[in-house]
Amino acid sequence: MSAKALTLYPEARRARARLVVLGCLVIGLLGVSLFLGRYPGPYWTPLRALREDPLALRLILNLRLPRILSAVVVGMTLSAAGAVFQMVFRNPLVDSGFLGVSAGASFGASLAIVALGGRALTIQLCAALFGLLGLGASYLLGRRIRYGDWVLRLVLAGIAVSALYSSGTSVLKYTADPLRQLPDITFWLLGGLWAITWPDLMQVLLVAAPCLALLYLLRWRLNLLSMRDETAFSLGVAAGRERLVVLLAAVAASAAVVSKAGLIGWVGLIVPHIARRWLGADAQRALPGAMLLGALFVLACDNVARTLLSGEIPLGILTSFVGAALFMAIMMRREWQVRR
Amino acid sequence: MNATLSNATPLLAVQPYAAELSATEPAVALREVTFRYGPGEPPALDGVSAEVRAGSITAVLGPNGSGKSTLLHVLLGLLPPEWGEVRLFGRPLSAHSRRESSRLVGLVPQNEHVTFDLSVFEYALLGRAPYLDLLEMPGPDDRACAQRALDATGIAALARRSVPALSGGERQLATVARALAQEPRVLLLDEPTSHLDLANVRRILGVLRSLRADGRTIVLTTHDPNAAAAIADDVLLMRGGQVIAAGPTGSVMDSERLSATYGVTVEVVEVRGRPLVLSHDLDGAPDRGA
Repeated sequence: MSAKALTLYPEARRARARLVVLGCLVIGLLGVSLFLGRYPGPYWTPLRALREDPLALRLILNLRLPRILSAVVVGMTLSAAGAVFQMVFRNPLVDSGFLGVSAGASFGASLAIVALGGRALTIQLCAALFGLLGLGASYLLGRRIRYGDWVLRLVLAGIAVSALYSSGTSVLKYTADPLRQLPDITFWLLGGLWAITWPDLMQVLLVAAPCLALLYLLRWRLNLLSMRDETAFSLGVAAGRERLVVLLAAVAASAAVVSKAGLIGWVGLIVPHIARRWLGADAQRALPGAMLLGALFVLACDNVARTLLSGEIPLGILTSFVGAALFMAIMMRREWQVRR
Repeated sequence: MNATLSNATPLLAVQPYAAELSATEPAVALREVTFRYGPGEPPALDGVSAEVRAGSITAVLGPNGSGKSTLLHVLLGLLPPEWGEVRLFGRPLSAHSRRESSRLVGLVPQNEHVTFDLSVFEYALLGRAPYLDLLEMPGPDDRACAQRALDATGIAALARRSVPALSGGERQLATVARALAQEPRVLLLDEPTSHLDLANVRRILGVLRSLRADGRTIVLTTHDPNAAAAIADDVLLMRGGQVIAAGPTGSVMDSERLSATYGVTVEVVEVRGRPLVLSHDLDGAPDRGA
């Protein structure tokens, strides 16, 4: 018996160190982000403004801080949910955007805005409900598609379900009141954090925090859930039940985030990939890694979104742009391949 | 569990509760087990009765579709029999909790897919799941056990390699190591040699022999009579969901039974005291008419 396994392999030790680095980076970026912005001048709020300008202090505490924390929560949630989807469906090519969750949530939110009065709670509930329905429909359809392997089938099913939902959303947009409802829907679909206030953040956290905590605590078991049913069963895992629990947690957290922040694309697909690459595939480290990387990614994008131009750039556009570019770069790397 | 692990005992750590299991009873016993995949379908197992001696290697031998894998899944508890009973060490399988039986029985499935780039060591560590609570992470004892499993299968040098990148033979050994980390008394292997070349078949069979020497009970399915003949103490001959013959390898594997099982003429000759099956249509081989 070797003694080294009693401690840890170098990869595991390195991954731990990298997690600490990531954590420090998130905290550091949080601090820096507080001073990024377009008040009083473009890009930077000097420290002295905090003492001299009461408006600057109020702005930082009441507008920037909740928004920055929201970006962290959004990034953590979408990345964790993406990692969970990829592991549970044994498919590195899925995230909530590919499984009908985002499209379902969009439809639900639009429906709530057009037909149900558009109260925040209604939007949140509708987004969660239809997101869940989208996931279920994609999964069931993927089981029934008779073309390709599991990786492809699930992606195809997700595309089909998302397209159905998108057409539904388009119908809703078409019928929406162009002055009151349509702007709401459009801005929601573009995704962004400009409207986030402390109460919004609290509402999101109320759902997302316990879900993320649960996923974090179950992180090692995600490895087991990524095994086939017979293997998981032979290891004493109640795979069906445990998969359902982690999926529900992932969808609920995503829907809570999405209902406030709108569609923030590509985070859930790309960040878990980078986390696995950098920290290894063991979800014990890859999941917290994905959470921290996701926080960094969304926070950095949101800083650009609110600082770069005098007008706001919708966050969803930025994350999609950067995420898709990264995805293409990773897909073209020789060592990257989908293993079935 | 902790007591046995921290003392760095050999791989055959007899679990405290496992020690209460009957030593005289067969490790696995099936009585009149019938299983169907769906109502109205023909039975995949049709009144199967069999016993597996503790500490032996038993080969379940038969053509494709004869019910071998189904039998393994019923033994595991994955497929509940429609009729009949499965007993583990004298106790009905249903009387063991899922957790208990996963400490007793390990499975090496036919095509284990590992989607993500887990290292061999991380993969072996998954075998510790039956000993961990829902929110528990594997600790030093578990890591030591996974490492012993790698040592026992001779792949300690591969510990840091990625499982999906392994060759077929190495991956099969990694899967055995993962099942061994469960410290099971019974190891079920589904077609462990079917996709391997000669050297890797020999390597796997060598590992299985050493596990038997540790006192483990091994049940493997195979459609290759020579693999069964090379390693098994006992053979269970299956066809069409039924057991055609069962008993010591030398007495069960004769030309007539195997010809009837596979539906083609085969000839069994004895080489160094073990049966060797010739299935090719050799020139001058007597055609006994299938």
